[in-house]
Formats: sequence, C-alpha cells, structure tokens
Amino acid sequence: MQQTYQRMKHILFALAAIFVTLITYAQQTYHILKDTTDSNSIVLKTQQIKEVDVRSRYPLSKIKSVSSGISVDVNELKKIPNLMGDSDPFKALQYMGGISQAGEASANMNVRGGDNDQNLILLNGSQVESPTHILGLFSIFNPELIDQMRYYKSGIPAEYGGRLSSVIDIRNNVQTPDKTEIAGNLGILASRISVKTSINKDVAVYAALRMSYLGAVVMPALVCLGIDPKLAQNNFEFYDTNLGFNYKLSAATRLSGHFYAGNDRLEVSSNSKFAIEDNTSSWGNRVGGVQLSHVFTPVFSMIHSFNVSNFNMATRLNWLNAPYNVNSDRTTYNYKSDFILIANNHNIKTGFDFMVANLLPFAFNKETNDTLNFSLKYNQFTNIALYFRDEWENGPLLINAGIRAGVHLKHPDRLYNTSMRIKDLMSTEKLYTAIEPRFFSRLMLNEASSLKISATKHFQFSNRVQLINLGLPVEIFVSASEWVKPSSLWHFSGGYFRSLNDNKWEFSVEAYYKSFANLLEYGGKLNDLMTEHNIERLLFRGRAYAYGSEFMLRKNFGNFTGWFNYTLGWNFRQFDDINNGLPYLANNDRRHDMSLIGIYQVNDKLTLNATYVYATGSRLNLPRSWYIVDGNVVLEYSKHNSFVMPDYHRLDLSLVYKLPVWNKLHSELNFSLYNVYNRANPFMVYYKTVADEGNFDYQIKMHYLIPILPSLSWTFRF
Amino acid sequence: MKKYVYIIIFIGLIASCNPDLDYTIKGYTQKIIVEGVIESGKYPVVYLSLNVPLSKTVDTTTILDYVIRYAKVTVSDGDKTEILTSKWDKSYFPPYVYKGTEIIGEEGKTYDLKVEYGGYTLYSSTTIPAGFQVESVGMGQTDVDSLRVLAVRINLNDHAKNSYRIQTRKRKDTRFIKTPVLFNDGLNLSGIQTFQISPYPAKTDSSFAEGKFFVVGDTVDIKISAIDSVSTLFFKHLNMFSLVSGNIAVTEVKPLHSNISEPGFGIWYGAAVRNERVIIK
Repeated sequence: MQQTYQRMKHILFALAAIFVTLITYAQQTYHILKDTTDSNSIVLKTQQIKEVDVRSRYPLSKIKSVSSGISVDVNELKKIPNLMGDSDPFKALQYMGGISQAGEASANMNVRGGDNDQNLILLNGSQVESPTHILGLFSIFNPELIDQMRYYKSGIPAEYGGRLSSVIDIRNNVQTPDKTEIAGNLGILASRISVKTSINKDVAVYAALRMSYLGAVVMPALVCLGIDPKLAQNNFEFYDTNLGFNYKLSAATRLSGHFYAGNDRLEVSSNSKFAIEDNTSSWGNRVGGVQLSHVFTPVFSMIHSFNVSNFNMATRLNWLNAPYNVNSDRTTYNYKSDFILIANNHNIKTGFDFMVANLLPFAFNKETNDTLNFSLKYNQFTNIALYFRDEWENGPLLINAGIRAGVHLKHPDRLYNTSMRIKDLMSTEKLYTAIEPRFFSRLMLNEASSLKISATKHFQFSNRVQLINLGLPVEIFVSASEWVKPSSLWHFSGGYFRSLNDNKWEFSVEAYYKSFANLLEYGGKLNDLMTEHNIERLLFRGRAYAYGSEFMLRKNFGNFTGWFNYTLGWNFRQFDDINNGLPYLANNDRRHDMSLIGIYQVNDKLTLNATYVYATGSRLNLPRSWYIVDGNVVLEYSKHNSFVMPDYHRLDLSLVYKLPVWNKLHSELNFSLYNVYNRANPFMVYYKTVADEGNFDYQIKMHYLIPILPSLSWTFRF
Repeated sequence: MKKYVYIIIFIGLIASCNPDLDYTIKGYTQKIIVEGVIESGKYPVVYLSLNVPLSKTVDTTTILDYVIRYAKVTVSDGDKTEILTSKWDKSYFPPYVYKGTEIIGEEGKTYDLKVEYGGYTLYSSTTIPAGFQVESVGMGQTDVDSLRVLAVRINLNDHAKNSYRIQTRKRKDTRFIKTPVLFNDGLNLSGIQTFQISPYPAKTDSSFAEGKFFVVGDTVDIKISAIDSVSTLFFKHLNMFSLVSGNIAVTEVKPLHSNISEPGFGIWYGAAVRNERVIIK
C-alpha cells in the first residue's frame, strides 16, 4: 500500500512538473528528486534543447469552403504595402483574383467583368455606395476596426441580394476587447486614431477618426519645395469617423449598433480643358444601424437589423462663365431579419429583407431661384425580398441551394422640397418581380482537393450609371421604372481547388461565364442632363457577357509567403444604340490581369513586402481623327471602344519594422515605395480640342498621376 | 531569400521598359472627306479633304496639306456625265472647290457622284427632292424693340420624307449662314407648318451679339432647302456636334451616317431650293 502511495506521489510530481513546464512556455525544465514529497526539493535546472518549430496547419479553408465565398484573412491583407504606408485590407482585395481595379487612382472596382455599381459593399450590414476616399487611394474602412471580411465573387448565397457581381461584407469590432485599446497611424497625407474599450463586462464601445491635411500641411510644404503655386490652389480633403457599441443583454441576446460618416471634398480652382472654374465637389457616405441577435437554443437563432444608408454628392462649378449645381443623393432604409436553424447536416437560413429608397438621380442645373425645379426630382422605390437556403453536407458532398424572391415597386416621382407627386404628368408606379435561384456545390475529391460549381441568378433594381470616368463619382442614380427594366445576371462558375505538399502550397483554377441583361449606358449629351426631366430616357439598354478563367498559386508556409493570381477574361457588351448593334469590348475588358504578392518575414521585427500588378489597359471610346464638313469640326471615331489604354503595371515595396515596446506602446514604422520603377500609368485620357483663328489643335492627351512615391508612416497601439 | 530578390529585380527590369507611347497614330485610317451638293437650278459643287489624325497640330498653312486638289470628280444624271473643274475658294473650308458647268440640278432627278483620288474610287448617289411651296415669311417681336425673329410657313410635300435646312444672308454677308436647327428632322410633319428662325445665339449666351439678330431695316435673303431622309440623318447628327460646346464627352456622340463609299466619308446631297427676300420691319 505504502509502495503504491509513493508511486502515486511520483506520478503526481511528474505531472506537476509537466504542468509547470507547460505554463512557463517550455523554457524551463524542473528536475524532480526521486522518493520525496517535499516540494522545496524541486530545483531549477536550465537545459539547452534544440529549437522546436511550432507550426499550425494552414486551414484548408479554400479547398473546403463553398464556391468563392471566402473569409478574407484581414491580418494578412494588412501587411500588403499601400500607397501611403497605412494598411488597407479593402484596397488589398484587388489582389485576390477576379477583382480588377479600374485604373490608376480610380475608385472603381470591377469583379469578373461586372460594373462598379454591381458590388454589394456592406459595413455591419449597411450598404456603402462609395467605398473609397481621394480618387480610390484609401478605402473608407478604418483598418483598425475591421474584424471580419467576407468576399463573394460567385456562388453568392440567397441571403444577399440587390447587386449582381459581388458581395464584400465587412464587420467592425465583433470581439469585445479585454482592455482599452488605443491605436492609430501617423501618415503623410492623413492620420487616424481609434479607441476600443469595455464599459463593463457586457458593454463594449469603439470610436475612430481619420482626417487628411493636404491643404493645411502638404500643399504649403510642396509650395516651399517649389511646385507651381497654382496647383496649390486646388485642394483635396477627406475625413471619416466610426462609432459603435456591443451590448450583451443576456447570455443569449446581443444588441449592437454602428455609425459611420465620411466625406471627400475636392476644390479645383480652374480646369481650362473643360472650361470649368471654381469647382467644389463634396461627396460621402453616412451609414448607421442597430442589430439584435438572440440564440433560442444552440441550434436555432435569429438576427434582426435595421440600417440607414446615405450617399450624397454635391458639386458647384462655373462652366462657360455660368454657375451650375450638380447633385445626386441616395438614401435607403433597410430592415432585415434572419433565422438560422442547424439540424443534423443541414444549416438552414431564411429571412425577410425590406428596403425603402429615395434617389435624386442627377440634378445638373443653372443656379436659379426657380422653386419648381423639375430636375430636382426624386425617385422612390420599395424592395421586399424573402429568401430561404439550405446548406447540406453529406460526406464529401456539400450542397447549398436557395431561392430569393422579391418585388420592386417604383413609386411616382416626387419633386424636391414639395410633397407634389407628378404621377399623372410624367411618371407612374411600376412593379417588377424577381425570382433568384441560387445553387452551389462542393465535392471533396480527397483530403486535399475539391471541385466546386455554382449557378446563380441575380437581379439589380437600382443602378449607378457613370457619366465621366475621372475617379470622381459623377454618376446617375436610377432605379427600375417604366423606362428602365431591372438588370439581371446568370452566373455560372466552376473550379478545381488543390493543396500541395501537405498544404504548404495551394493551387486553384476557376472558370466563369456571366450573361447580363438590361445593363445601362448613358446615351445623351451633357446638355441633355439640364433639359430632360426623366433622365432614364437618356439611357441605352443592352446585354453583356463575360467569361474567363482565374488561376491562383499560393505559398502558405515559411518565412516567405505570398500568392500569384492570374485572370484571363473577355467582357463584351451589345447595345442596339451603340456600335450599330454589334458586340464590342467593354470599357473594363481586361484580357490579362495579374497580381503577385510576396511577404518575407526577415525576423521578429522586420517584414518586407512586395506587390506587383499587371493588367491590360482598359478601353475607351475616343476619336481618332477629325475633319471639317459644312463648317463643323467633326471628330471621327472608329469602332466603339477601340482605343486601348496602355497596359497598367506597377511594383510596390514596403518595409515594416517593429519598434521596441515602450511603456506598453507597441508601434511599427512602415516605409513604402509605391510605383518603384516609376511607370507612367495613365490616370486620365481625354481629347483636347482647341480651334481658334485657323489653328486646330485636336489631340489625345494623357494625365499621369502618381510617380514613384516613397512614404513613411508610424502605426501605434497601446 | 536571394532568389526571391532576383525574381523581383528581374520583374522590375522587364516591367520598367517604358516605351514612348504613340496612342494617336494607332487606329488612324485616312479617309477622303466629301462634301458635295447639287441644288435645283444650280451646278454641282464638291469639296474634298482628308481627315487629320489627332496627333497633328495644324495651323492655317499646314491644314492645306489635308485639302485634296488633284482629284477627278465626275457627276452624272444618267444621260450626261461631266468632269468638274476645280479652283481655289478661300471663303470656305476646304478652300478648294470642284464645280460643274453643264449639269444643272432638277427636282426629282437622281445624280451620281464619282471621286477618283490616290488610287481610290468613291461612289455616291442622291436625289433632289420634289418641290414644295413657301407660303409666307413672317416676322415676330423679341424682347428688344429693334430685333425680330422670322417665321417661315412651308407647305410640306406629304408624299416625300424631307427635312428643311434654312439659311439666311444679310446684305453685308458673303455667304449664307445656316440656322442651328434642321426643321422636320423627325420626318413626321405634314401640311402647312411654320418654322421659326430664332435669334441665334440666345441673349443669355456669352457669345450673344446684337448684329446676329435680324434688325429692323436689314434686307435678308432666306434660302430654304428640302433634303431627303438620308441627308436628313447626316445633318441631324452633324448639328449635335455644333451644339456641344466644351468637350466633356460623356459618351459617344452618334457617328454620322455617310452616303459615300469607303474609304470616303461625308455627304453628297441634292436640295430643292426656294429663295425668299424680306426687309425687316
């Protein structure tokens, strides 16, 4: 018995030793003296052991995930160099394959041949119309607050609707912080600061602010350095702010709220090319919402959310010596409820989506005191949708099938500042219905490879039609009406996903085909915007089809990680009123689109990153020559969109150095070089026409915006 | 690590080849621009030029390089064929005119045009529309006491789809000045119609000048030309170009519909012309 007791003691001591070893992170080894119960006899013995490489298997997320709906590794994207040194996971999405940035300093994002307005961008469930600041150089999302980011470019499940091409669903601050966290970034153009804290164990709040200071700091500094003071008369500023809270009402019930407001302001003193003077443009999003979630049982839960979203653009300019105002506005009120049931192998989600929208399509008018201004005409509509989807997993097979059924009711238009409805005069009610089947499936071929296919139908009732592609949101908001049918899309996609060498490498190839109907192009002249009461009548309608393949190779392990994406794609449009009704390549047709990302962890403190992007130049419809007939100078166009801009390519490098911790202050310096080899990527192409006193100067001109650009920023957290 | 550095440097070297970009010549094809008319009761008149690539800056001297002076221009009415003779016409652009001396335009008749230049032969054909009746020319008040607008009443030929170009010439002018509007460009009016020749440009326009109105005491010649539907389409779209001031091209301006064979471009049109003279009261 005594012997057994002694043995037990030895075993207990041995376990205790292992426990102590574990909690001291295996850096110290304790030697236990045999046959003793005296704990003081445990003495420290330092022992050198071989270095242990602790590694976790990179999850087979992309192999096992359904279709292209992927959770983006936000922390990884934060490492990619950005223009001004600050991290920007949203902007870095364009390196994920299938997404192409429209061009240099462009705010547009095109997914698999889709248009910019076909992306559903959500911030905590609220729709965001314009996701970037300052000509697309920064995203509006504060990188410090982003906790989750989901990105769908195909196989979009039934709970998402309203946009054709992609979903980018961003969630701020889902986690409750253990302590107060203050973080920020000091940069050359702008700085930001954010605070996350818990008021008590149930309530957490966050706040963030970001502001630029071009006018106050950057421009005066550039003038001192000798730039043209005329240039300094122009200015560009932006700010954004975020507020939010999470409140645990009970163990099963949670209430959260968020508010975002941001604005860009551009001041151009004169633009002789367009005979524009004193142009002040201001635009921005304001979104807010509350969300209530409740878990009834571990298998049944619900989420209710109410969101308000507004985008407003206001421009004042002198054009040909007359003052003009340009306005557009979009406000939506959205209520959504989701119910989630997990039973056996089924994950069922169903819900209801209700939205009321108020649009000012585009008002372009001379400053006037006319109170009955017909161009300030608001479109109003209501969207209601019901959806149901079931994700069913059975062995290697996973099927996610669903349906979304909705109605779009366009109300008679309303005049600004009045309750007057112009039902009988110019507009009527119009109802559209939409049935959107969604299907996707994944078949695991073995532990390391899978096949995925998807076929989905989408409707979009509200579009933004671009007027001028200058990076500014000069767009018309239109909704499906008696003149404009809703846009729709059939999207078929399939791919093979494989992990190699014990998942150290990943490889995938995907093919897609998209068939669009009722896409819109502006078909009027600039003057028509002032005279036409129903701007929708100036739109051309047509179809489109896009197809292509995407290849991805990724290295997940080691000090050097990174990925390579290549897309080979075609993108056609066919409009009765354009190109004599024959198909033509779309503006955003990109035959080749490639991105190469490398991240090298030199040591604990130093990380080097490189990004290389290459894309075929986008297409424009520009004249090729001119002639005079009947006393008029006529610009001659060849086939529609036959002008191809030079290819876009660029190499960026960045170096992140972690500074020593000082009084709990963790910080790092980010030195980045944008456009390392100073490629002149055109920002804007236009034709210049000057004809005076017999001199004719009609030329294609290009503007280049960003040369090689070093930047330094300091990111901190405590 | 080293090999990755080499890869990056290699990519950088390839990509940094930054060629001198010549965007404008690419895609430029030379066209022979034809502007020809045969009016009722007049000899045919043809102007020829080449289109100018957008890369070229031209002035009053160098633009003459784009004027065609050595073409063979032939007009035929089915019975007679005539080679037009050419000479300088400095009052117009292109400042070189090909003019007939035998064939005179007749209403309802078809005329073929053949242009031979630089190894190319272009063809076109047009018909002078049937005649029409000018009922009256009236005058209207404006908000300035001494200025008037003109109102032309025309009895449209219901059987023909014609539009009407109206041009005016004051005594001091050497050439007719066209009004900015092509009347009945929708080709949908019939019977007696009144077309108002508005003071142009509008008083609120920055280029407003009183001399451009019809002032009391002016003698004004009015030329009213009926043109067929093919020519209507051409001039209708051509008017859009002259109306868009500034150059913010929001999207494609509709290309003109030419009736000249490739590689030519432009218009060969017949016009049934009526002339009126009024003294502004």
